[in-house]
Amino acid sequence: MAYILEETISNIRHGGVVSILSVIIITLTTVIVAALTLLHNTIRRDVDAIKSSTAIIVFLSDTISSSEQERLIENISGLRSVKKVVYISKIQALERSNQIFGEFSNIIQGLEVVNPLPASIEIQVQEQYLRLQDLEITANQIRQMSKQIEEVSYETLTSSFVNQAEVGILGLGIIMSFASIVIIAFSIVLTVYFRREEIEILRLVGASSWYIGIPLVIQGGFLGGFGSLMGVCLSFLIFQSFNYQLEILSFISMRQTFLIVFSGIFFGLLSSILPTLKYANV
Amino acid sequence: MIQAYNVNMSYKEDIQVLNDVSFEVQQGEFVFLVGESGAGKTTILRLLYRGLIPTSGELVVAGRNLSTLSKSEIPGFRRQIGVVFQDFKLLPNKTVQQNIAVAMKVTGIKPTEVHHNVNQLLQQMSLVHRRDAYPEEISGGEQQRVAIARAMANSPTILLADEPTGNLDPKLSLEIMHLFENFNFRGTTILVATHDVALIRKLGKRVIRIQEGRSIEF
Repeated sequence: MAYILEETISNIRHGGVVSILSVIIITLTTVIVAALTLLHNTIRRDVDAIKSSTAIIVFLSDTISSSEQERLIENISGLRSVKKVVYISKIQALERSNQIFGEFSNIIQGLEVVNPLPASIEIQVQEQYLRLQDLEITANQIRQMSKQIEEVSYETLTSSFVNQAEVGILGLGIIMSFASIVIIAFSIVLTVYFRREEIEILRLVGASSWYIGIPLVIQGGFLGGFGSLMGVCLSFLIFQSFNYQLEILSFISMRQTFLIVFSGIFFGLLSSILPTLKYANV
Repeated sequence: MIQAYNVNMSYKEDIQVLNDVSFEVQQGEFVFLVGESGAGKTTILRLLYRGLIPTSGELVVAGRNLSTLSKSEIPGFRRQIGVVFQDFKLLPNKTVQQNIAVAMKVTGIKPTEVHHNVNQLLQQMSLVHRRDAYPEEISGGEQQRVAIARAMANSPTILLADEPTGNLDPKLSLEIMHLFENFNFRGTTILVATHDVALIRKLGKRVIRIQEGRSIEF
């Protein structure tokens, strides 16, 4: 164990500029990954809000009978894609408007006499049916249920944007992680190059492949772990300085922090195995 | 202790270095391997410590047939053999005692035992006063003594030396040879590759001659 630590530190010291460069690049990558995680958290929070809010609104004709209305609610509730149905009467719609307009509610004063707002049915959709195509199908099914339906509206932009944003974040995260793997691997290749004579001597005196290879692999893990830890610390400092005035976001969770650091160690170990096997010939 | 049977070695298809080489070295012998530069002496030594694999032929060293030796068996085999080079091949970032200790550490010996054995070798090689010096801070003769101490650290049965006196003056060369004789006296089989005819004459040991990798004379 003492040997592994001693050799790992010696390797990093001999790596010099390349070791420092590796740590800097991993740190910067981690800052970007932390920023992406923060963005993901924010989007995820919005997605959760969307999922728990109304996805489809069915506006009803003023002439709809109460029996027709009850039958319609029953039919909509029976759809597989529907999670929850709430009936909003004309009066409730007006009350909501008053709340929305607040201090400017005088704009809609007098509407109590002839309420122009239609009664509606607000529909929450099951999570797996939130995609654009599924919302369209559900909306069409509802449209065909009654001639007393004036309009069926649904929000599609947000859900498709969220999906695209999540794919984008994942893609960027993968690219940055790949860049880190390449730079750590490069660092190990250089270490092996600088230490080629030493490795040759170790082989001559009967050192096993494990004895030569383990410190190199640990070096990769150390660079990955140290770089990602520095990255998380730097991200926190940047976050604190920017969030000082906003105070609306919370930093990435402790679980995510550990995940990022452990990913750094894991990718570091992983990226050092191949060059160790290939160039140190262990 | 060392047997070579019809060994052929070519680095590329058209560069034949050794051609049907056969020789034997008995246990406890001190033998010189001589020949001009490029004759194939270094190639033979590299074959003997399994740094190279012959194109054809058979090599048996310390009772191990090298053609059947697997990659994982090489470290164990090499611990039975000490190797000394003309350019010493010391680790520049390690002190004299660390350079000697490295050969023992790779075998997994306890640190206290390593410390004890290193002290013994330092005394034997008259290097006690240089124990904390780095290779660049000591003379060529001292560097070669460190290399020999490292080669002898695990009490090998065979010591191979490739032009060990090539960088030393005649007085130091003779001093190194006396160290080899000392180890040989204690039972280590020694094979020294050299083209220093004067030194060979002084010591009067058996000689194996190689000429252009094609023939061996006893």
